[in-house]
Amino acid sequence: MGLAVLSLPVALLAFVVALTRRHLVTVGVNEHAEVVRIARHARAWRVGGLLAGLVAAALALTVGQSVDALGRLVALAPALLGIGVLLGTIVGELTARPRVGVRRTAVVETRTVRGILPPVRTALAGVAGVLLAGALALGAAWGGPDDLQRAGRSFTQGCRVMVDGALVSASSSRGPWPGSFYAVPLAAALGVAALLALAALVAVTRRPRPRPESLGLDSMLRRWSAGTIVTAALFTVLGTLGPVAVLIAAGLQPGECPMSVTQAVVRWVALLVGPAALVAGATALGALLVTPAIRVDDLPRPLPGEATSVGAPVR
Amino acid sequence: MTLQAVTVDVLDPTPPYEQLRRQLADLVGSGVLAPGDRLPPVRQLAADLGLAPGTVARTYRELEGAGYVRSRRGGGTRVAPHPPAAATPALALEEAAAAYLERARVLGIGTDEALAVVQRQASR
Repeated sequence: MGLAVLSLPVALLAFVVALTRRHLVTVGVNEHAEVVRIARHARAWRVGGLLAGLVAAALALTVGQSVDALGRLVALAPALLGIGVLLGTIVGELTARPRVGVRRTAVVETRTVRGILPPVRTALAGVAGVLLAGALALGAAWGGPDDLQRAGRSFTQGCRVMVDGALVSASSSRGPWPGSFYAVPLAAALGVAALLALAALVAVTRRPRPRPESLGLDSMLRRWSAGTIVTAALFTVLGTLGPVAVLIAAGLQPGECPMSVTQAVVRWVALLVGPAALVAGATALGALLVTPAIRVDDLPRPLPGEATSVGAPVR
Repeated sequence: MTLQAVTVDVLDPTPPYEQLRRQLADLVGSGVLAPGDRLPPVRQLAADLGLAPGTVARTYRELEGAGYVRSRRGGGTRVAPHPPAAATPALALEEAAAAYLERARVLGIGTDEALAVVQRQASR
């Protein structure tokens, strides 16, 4: 728990640093007008989804605590924020349509989800997802009933220890433990988030192309959208994994009963993963709050990949 | 790799599926699309062109019937290993000229005026 508390300032710093790293591409007036319109439309929906997710998460953290004092609704806050972003992205991408004229042109290409995924973030989300699935499965497997017989809310150990030369039965129980009491609703929410992330990626891939002269910018826009989707999924997973790992580490404290080797290894892994997930989750949240944007200017810089013109235009 | 494009003109008297079929057949026949290359999924191409998926599906069926492509369930549509030989550029131009004159006729423009337009465009 101490390491997790110590990681909070680092998480805050990571969050602030992420806020300063914003992707901004400038295009000229009357350049790529269709892509700019689509980008703004999609971004407006995504920001709307983000705001809705923030409100839902804030309600889960405040009202949720009074509705369910045991924290099941509070635990869903990261998933609610991620789901909000994903829903906003899906609606924005499905309703962003380039205008069709009399002459319609399409590029002969096969667009795939894999082609627009950011490799590093996707790999990170995959690893974090596996860790979270493992943590929830382990929590459910090792969880036991608490003092009020609520299944899977406590980590209980029983053993026989030597006291004054005699073997006596001893037991210890610690909670809250991320057993089935918390793992089932969390797994359901994360399953919904995973399906929404997949649907959002498919929506981005299938969005019709604008005019052929804007292909480069359009491809960049798709990669941005995919990046935001993966970041939302990453925040959902890490924002859940951090507290779950911290609770596992807290529950596996050495007590009256000796810990097995497996329990000791899990405790150390949880001690490391918890703070790391909190810091990375804060970074992902910061990145979500500053989604990339296209700015229209009368004197644009060249887009990545474009030849740089020498000198300034004569006015 | 340079991306190739196909264009559909909804005012053209030639049906969209035929416009698409002709362009894709030219791309395959001329070797721009090599054997094994994958064509866009039906829904993707239909959405990009603002056409009904059935229109693009018909194009692909026609191309498959002519031996240009092969469709496999789950594997998409790919250029056939041995597609028909390409039409010569001269023949392709003949077809384009015929289509142009047909379009002019639909618009109520005579052959002489249509040829004059071509000459004006060429001299620009």
